[in-house]
Amino acid sequence: MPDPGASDEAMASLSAQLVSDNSIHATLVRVSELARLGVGRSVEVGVTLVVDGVTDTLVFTDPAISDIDRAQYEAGDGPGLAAIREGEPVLVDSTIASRRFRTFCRAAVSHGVGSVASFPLVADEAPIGSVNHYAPSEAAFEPATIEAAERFAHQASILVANAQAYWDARSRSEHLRRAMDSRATIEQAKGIIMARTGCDDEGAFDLLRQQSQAENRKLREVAEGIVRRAVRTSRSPDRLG
Amino acid sequence: MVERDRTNAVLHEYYVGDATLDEALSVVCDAAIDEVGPAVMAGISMTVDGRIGTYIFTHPEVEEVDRPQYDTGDGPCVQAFRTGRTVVVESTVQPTRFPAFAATAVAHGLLSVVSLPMIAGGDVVGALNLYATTERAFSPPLVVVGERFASQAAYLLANVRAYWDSRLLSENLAQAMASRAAIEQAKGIIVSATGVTPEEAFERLVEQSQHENVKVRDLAGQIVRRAVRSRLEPGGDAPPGSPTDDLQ
Repeated sequence: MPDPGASDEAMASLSAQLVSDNSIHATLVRVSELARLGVGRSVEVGVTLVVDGVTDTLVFTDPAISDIDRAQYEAGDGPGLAAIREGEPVLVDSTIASRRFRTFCRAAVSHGVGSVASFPLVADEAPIGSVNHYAPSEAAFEPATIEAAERFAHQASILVANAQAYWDARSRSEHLRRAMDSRATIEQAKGIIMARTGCDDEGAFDLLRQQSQAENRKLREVAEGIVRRAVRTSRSPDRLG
Repeated sequence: MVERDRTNAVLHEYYVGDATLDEALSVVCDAAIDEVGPAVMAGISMTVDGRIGTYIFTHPEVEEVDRPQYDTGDGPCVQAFRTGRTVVVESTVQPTRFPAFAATAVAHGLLSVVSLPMIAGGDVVGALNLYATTERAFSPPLVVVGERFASQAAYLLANVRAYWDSRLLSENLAQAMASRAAIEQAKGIIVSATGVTPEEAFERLVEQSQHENVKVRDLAGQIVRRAVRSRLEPGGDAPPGSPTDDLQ
């Protein structure tokens, strides 16, 4: 029987997470810990995410989960994958007796897992992953437990989607900042070429690229050389005082 | 039960990118009125660009009532925000403190007020202010309900704000990148003409922009256009440095 207090506490903790405080990974670890807290300690939890089309179990409360889930990815079928595909919870009441997911169930049995319940993470009506529960005994998941876990997964979906949105925006900024640094030198070199040849933006870039190809050096390195030489050669004491 | 579900949806089932911070917090203010019965108006105090103010409100009167306290520092919203503690004004008709604030509130028919701190991750991120048309409208049990609502809303505020700050930063950077190209090219032209380092070239650019009262970006564009044009003119093998003579 699930403890309603623990389940409420897990739900409340999900709503009190700051997306900027933790990495995506740390957020998923928190989700797996809270999921386990919500349903009871004997259950182990794995969180699966679909990132750039690749489905993988990114965090787990027990290393055996990684092994068991590998079986479902190799077979291309298992409760986690089915939950993501169907957008509905998928229950394996007995890994010994189940006719579904045979490869996955064999791996589960070999690690002492008797029953499994997978809940989809859905954001904006699109599946983004699943929260998977692994219990040692068969038929471990009662209707009340399943209902609580389903509610939890719904709430966790929002947290994970928000964390992803935040970190996507952050990494875009960092990428742009890095691009800007290396871009500065290239644009300066273009300016020097423009001053010397009178060609425009595109023409200067073509010349830069030709030199980069001819010398088999990176564009940025060629640009750095041009700027360095221009500073040295044009510098004359009377002009700079 | 319907209202409870609605409140839950507002506070716990929001996607950070679905609405702007203003839109998300406006919905929070509406839900706060539903949640804390006697409240008829609501507002949120927070800092924007380092300035504290009531930026979100259900009715324009809220902003009018709140405004003077941000100058004087004397009012429930400012206090709740600064101290992180709930401030209840039981009666604005017979106020025990904040006399100026109370007088304005009475003039708008608002006779009691509660300001609830919004605390997320240990930081005060705002204050949720509720206004009622009767005195002593906010009983201690109602204040507890309001405090719980405000502390949940604080996480929404912090998460939505973090997302939009990040997103706006990346949009600004993308824009900066476009105007930056011209500035860097102009620096290169100055380097080519004078032999100063790119850093010194930038200083000259800034000086000239201040001197001529032109934006650095616009000035850079002019220099680049001139460099290209001077070489394209007939017989245009201009002496080196001519495009930037005015910078020397």
